[in-house]
Amino acid sequence: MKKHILFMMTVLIASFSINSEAQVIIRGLKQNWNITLNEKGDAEWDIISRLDKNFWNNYTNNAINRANAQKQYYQKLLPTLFMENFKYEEDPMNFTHTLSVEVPGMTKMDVYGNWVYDFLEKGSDIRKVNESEYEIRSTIAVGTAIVEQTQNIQLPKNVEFSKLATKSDGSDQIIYSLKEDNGGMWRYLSGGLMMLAGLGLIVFTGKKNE
Amino acid sequence: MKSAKLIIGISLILAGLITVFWPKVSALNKKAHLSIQIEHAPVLLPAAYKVYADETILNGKYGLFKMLITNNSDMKAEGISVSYEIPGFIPYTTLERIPYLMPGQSYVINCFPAFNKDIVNKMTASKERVNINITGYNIEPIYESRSVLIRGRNELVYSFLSQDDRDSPGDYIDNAPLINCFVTPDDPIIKYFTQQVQEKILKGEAASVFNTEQEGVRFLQGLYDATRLSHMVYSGTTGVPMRMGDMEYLTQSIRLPREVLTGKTGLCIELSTLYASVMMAAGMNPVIYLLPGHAFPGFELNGSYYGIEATGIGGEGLNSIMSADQALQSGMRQLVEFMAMRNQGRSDYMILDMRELADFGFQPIELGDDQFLRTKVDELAKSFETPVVDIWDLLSLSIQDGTRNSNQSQTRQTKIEELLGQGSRLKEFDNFVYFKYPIFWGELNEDLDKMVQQTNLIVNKDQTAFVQVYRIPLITNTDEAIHEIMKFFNSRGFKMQYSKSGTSSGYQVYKGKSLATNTNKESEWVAYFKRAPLGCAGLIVGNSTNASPEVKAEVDAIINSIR
Repeated sequence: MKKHILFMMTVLIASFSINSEAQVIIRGLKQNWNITLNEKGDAEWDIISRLDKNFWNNYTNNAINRANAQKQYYQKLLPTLFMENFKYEEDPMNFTHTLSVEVPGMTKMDVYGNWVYDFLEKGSDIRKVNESEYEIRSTIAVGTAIVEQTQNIQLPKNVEFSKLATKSDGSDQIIYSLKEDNGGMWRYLSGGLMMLAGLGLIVFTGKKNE
Repeated sequence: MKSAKLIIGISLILAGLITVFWPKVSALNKKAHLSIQIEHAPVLLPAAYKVYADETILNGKYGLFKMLITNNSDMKAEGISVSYEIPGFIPYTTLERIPYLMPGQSYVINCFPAFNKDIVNKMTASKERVNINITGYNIEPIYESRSVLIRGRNELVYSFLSQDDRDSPGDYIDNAPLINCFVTPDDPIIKYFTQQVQEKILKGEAASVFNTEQEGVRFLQGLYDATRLSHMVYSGTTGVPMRMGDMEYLTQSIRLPREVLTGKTGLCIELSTLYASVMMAAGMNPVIYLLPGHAFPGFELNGSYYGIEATGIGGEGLNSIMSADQALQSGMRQLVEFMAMRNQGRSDYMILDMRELADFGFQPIELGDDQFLRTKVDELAKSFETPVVDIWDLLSLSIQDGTRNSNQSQTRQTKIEELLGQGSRLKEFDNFVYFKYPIFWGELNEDLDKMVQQTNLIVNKDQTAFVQVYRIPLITNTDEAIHEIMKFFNSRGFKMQYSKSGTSSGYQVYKGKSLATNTNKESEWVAYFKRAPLGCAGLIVGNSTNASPEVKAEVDAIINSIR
């Protein structure tokens, strides 16, 4: 759990500048991390951070290039991944910033042809929302601020089944399979029909001869 | 007709089989095409060989390379195997077997090389090749070769980040946790040295687990005394920038603690790793405070931090050598400033907690025992044992007797000469004037109300005895010089009495007494002054009249060493 909290906190620190002056507990800060997986095993992340006015002012008063800083932060935080096509947007009216990034090869295929998604952190409290959606909710204190964080993992639409599994090292993963595409189904159907028809013809001809 | 129907039936079955297995049939003579993208570490540090093998450290930050393989063809690639080698260091090793790679699918592979511990014997840098092989059932084999610089075992590169990626001061020392690889508490030589310090400096009293801060401080000061008594010196230098391609890295050669011990010289970071190693071997929780241009060691206990200025042992070109008390005071003063900067969010002010870093996987290099180095430690430990107390006792006895006849004076002189000859318990002062003083006296660097011409003030622990050193420019007459000094003290509320008392070793000697009118404390002193370039130089050595006989003997010995 400690590792999980540490990981989540480091993610949060990228998004929320800590106001050390604040003496009261600040609530209402949120971060949604949406991970959408496609049929090829690539992921698209949308990290949406909603701040309050005070935090937003602290954050935007920094003289740094915030888009670049966010990009570098995640690259340093997750050095084993390849990250491409960073996009960063700010919505000052809602005190929100969004970082989008593509992460190829985030899901792997095992020997049985199932897809395996490894969670980035150990010991998470993971909830299966439905066959194609998983969620982790956390409430983490950053200084005097309470941040509600949600990590949402969206599997491809054509998921056939999915389940949570725990590896020997204690880390969690989602194992899922995808439905065959229509092309494959029609191929099996037509091939099967042809074989049945051929077999039927042979059997019918043989019986007629008797 | 019958046979025609049979042929149609068989044909239908065959057509059905071909339809079902079409992807495999169509792939019979085709190969999948893979593309690869590799990002690799620009430089490898042998001291961190255990770190490279651990994929959990900082989420896998210290890998050799990461590779993205993408299947760019419209057919499934199967049975893919990825292997690599570093000739001379790592034989061909299979990194990953990928059963399938679907069309368009990407796969990420990270390489965490398990070097043999012999790599720590590599003393110089060399360019090596990393060869990567990708094979599979239905792909053309791929061979990639990349160059990587493997540094010598003593080298540390403070950051692998490129200039563009460095957006905070801390990014310039991004690899600071790797310093823990140079902290070697399990080194048999360090363990042996720790044992010697505990036995001979701390008299075995600190052998138990540290559970009080006083004990920790005592150990820290004992360790400082051990480095000072063994004549270890501080050799100051900074990291040397190293250019690689378009990137510039700050690299520094860091000797191992055993090398610092036996070489008797160390940089601030080397002294810090030595302290951390010894403290860790003794069961403490050592820390290194890293700040721009400097590092100093300390420890943490019950949430409190302590620090000591390990470089207070002085070095070439550095006149003053701090006492253990002064080094501790200096360290604690720096620590206050350090914490203030850290609280302001300065990321280049880092506390490296050695045990925490070891828990995270920043493991030190493994070193074997070495009889020769043990002998060197024995030699160092001898300097801890100088029987200085006995000699001082003898000296004080001879003075306590009040018998300063010529014979006894000769005996005393002989003993002083013996003492001066040993050198290890006496420190030399050699700047216009020359004298020796006990190493447990220390220089008072506090901002005192003193004459600007007073360059040094050296006092004993309880400040009942002193040496004041003066450089008085433009006054070439020693009588005038001493008169100026007396005037200063008179203006500060002292009643001064003095008289000429002959000459000695080229100095004009004055003897005197002073009375502090506000405290009514009296001191007796002797002043030695001589002409020096562009003026006069000299010293006043004295003690409180109620100082102990031992202290008076110490003052006597200083006077006898003046040259």
